[in-house]
Amino acid sequence: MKTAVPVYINMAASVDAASLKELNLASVIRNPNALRRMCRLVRMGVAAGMMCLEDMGEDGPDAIITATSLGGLEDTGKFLAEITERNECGLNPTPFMRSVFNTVGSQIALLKGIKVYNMTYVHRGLSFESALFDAVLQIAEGKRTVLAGAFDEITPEAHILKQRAGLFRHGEKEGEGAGFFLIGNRPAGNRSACLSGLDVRRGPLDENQKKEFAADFLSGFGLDLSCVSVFNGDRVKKTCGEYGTASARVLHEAFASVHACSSEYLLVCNSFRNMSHSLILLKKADAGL
Amino acid sequence: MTEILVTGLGAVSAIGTDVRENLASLRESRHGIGHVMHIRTSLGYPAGEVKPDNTGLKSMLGLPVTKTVSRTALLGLMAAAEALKDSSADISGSRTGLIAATSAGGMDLTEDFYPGFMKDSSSGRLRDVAMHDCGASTDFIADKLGVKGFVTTISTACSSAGNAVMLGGRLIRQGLLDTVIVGGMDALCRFTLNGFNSLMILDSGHCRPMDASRSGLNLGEGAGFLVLQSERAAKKSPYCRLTGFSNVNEAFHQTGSSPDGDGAYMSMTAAMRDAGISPEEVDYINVHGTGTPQNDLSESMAIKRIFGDRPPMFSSVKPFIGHTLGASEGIEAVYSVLSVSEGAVWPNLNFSEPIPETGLVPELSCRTGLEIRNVLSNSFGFGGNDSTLVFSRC
Amino acid sequence: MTLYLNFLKPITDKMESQTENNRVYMENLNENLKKQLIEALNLEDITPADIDDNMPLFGETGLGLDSIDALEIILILERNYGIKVEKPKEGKEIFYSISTIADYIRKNTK
Repeated sequence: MKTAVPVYINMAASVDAASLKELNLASVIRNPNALRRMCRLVRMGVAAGMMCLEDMGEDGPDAIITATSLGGLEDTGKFLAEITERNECGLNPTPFMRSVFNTVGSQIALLKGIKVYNMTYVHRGLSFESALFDAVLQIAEGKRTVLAGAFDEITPEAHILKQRAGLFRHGEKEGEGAGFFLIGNRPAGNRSACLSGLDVRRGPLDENQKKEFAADFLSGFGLDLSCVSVFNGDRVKKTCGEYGTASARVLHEAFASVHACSSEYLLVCNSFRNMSHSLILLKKADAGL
Repeated sequence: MTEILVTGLGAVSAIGTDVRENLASLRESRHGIGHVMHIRTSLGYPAGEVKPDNTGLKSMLGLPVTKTVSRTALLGLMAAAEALKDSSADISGSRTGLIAATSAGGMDLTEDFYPGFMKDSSSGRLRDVAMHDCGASTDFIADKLGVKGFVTTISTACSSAGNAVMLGGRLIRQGLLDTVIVGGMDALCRFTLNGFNSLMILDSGHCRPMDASRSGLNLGEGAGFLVLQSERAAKKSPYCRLTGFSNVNEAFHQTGSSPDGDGAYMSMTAAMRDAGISPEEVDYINVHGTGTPQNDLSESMAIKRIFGDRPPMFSSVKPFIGHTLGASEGIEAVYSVLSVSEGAVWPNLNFSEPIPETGLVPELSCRTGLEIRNVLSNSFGFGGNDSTLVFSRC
Repeated sequence: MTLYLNFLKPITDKMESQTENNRVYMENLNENLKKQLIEALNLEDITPADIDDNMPLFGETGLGLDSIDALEIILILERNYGIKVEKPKEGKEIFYSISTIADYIRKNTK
């Protein structure tokens, strides 16, 4: 989709397991009663989201859109285990409550008292892209700022299952983390980048088909591969690892590098286990619309 | 602005495996709540299960009975295929889509896999967790129906399907899609049954929404899908129009709703504003009405705040089918569309005494031959996610 | 056989010591409850000394607990004291403070 109105990424924040430990969480999530009930995944997600909102003041965004491919796996596993161990009697409701996919989005709303549009996408390797797509749609509908982001976690159980499925045999590195973005209808500061377009494909593609996809996508903007810099998501995933919403981390890195690249445009390419693919076109914001 | 036409309907629930059966049960006040048959559980709560088991569903769908498919996906495929066939829509192009909602995804398979896996991590068949994630069920349906365009999955707890319908409506309004299949699906599973039990909001008897003596909800399962089309894509005369929708967050509590009904109030008023109608133009409200003390109080407080002492006809269909979670607003959107197209309202079973704080009395029997101009359909979920849809006569 | 004899003889002792244990446990009931509350509710920065026996646990004036915490307290009673609170509504008065919970436990333990 080519964005019908100008859309900007104005802020990005990522939190992973390592940075979560270094964060002074109490200063990011300033409600101790809410914080104590958050598990690791929710802490990563809410922290990344709140970091994007830090400079917003009282107003808050016009929409909160979150995404996760697998949601709260640790709590899902905990509750499943309790069902068996305690034979369906006297179960703790907290893991069940936290395993609901919209927990991060609703916690951010609750912490900041943000009563606006609140949505959660759970579509495998395209969950984050769905959230980003909705954010662009929101701006096209007249909203000014949208918080959009994604989160996923590693658990020991999921690790075993991935191992059994042979995912690590092909060199996949396991990953997790949260990435959030503040998206707006106008640039805010000199770090902003223009989000010019976004498209996805489901199903496997070979190298030729991937090139075709990129060429088709770019032709919609009157561009071809020779006039854009290409940002390959696999490069980032060597560090952050692979997970359903790793594309949020990839977009963060691409966003951070857009002003340093030689072309006006940066084409961000993502593939998730060759099951789904996405292309995001970023443009330097100060280069005009 | 492009009109959003509803041209196809599909529903599977405890009161029928297609729209015709659902409609007949609603007309005859025949509910589907009973003992749990299809899942292993020691909890004695009644629920609204879809009558055929997985083998039955697979044979109805023409799938090999040995194929491992989550019940959520089977229910979803059944309703989505019915809706698509009903619409006669052409979905071969790229300006088409499927937006499905679910809260449990393939949990029905995962929860049978897990106990063995806990004891021995090398046990169990991987294919039983291959459909765990929510998107797997949607992709399965998209592939079976041949949807090549926009495909995604939404999960905002109990308002999931309302949000799927809303996203489809927005995409048609913005001119991005011509035809989109929207709705929700969820299989009853031990995970959700135990989850709601741990929150102490299940009724051990038949639920009594909007009644003074209500004491909790009954869970249910099923799927409901609509086909939404732009005027230029529609090939048949539509059931009605989708004219408004809203999605707000109450930002009050992680699982509870405010006693004043702020979320429900904001949701209904925003949807009416979006549809460009006033409260006087609403003829029927399909309330969320789960039967929990909190939900029904806050929802009826909101109705009173908006409509005063003379609200439009309203009822909860939860005593028929149970609370079907991610499928809820899919199935109930189908019932709301039928209310407009059939000129009918559905009874709120098990009602005897109004909630003392509001004194509101729902519809107690099925009424037909009415002129229904606009229907509001509510769905409210955990995390304060509230959605309302508005369906209007053509 | 030894096991059998041992089992027969100390049975009264055992009962006494159990009662004794129970007595000690009950004497420290308030302290134990505070510890159990802190652990179950993950009250990271709070120590038992911060919780006054009579301070309200719920609402803004006290510890600030809410309805989900109430469900967790129901589990504490069930898992540690074998006491079932069937209706969350009943919890409102029972769970007002540490003292009221302790009273309820004493009343419902033989």
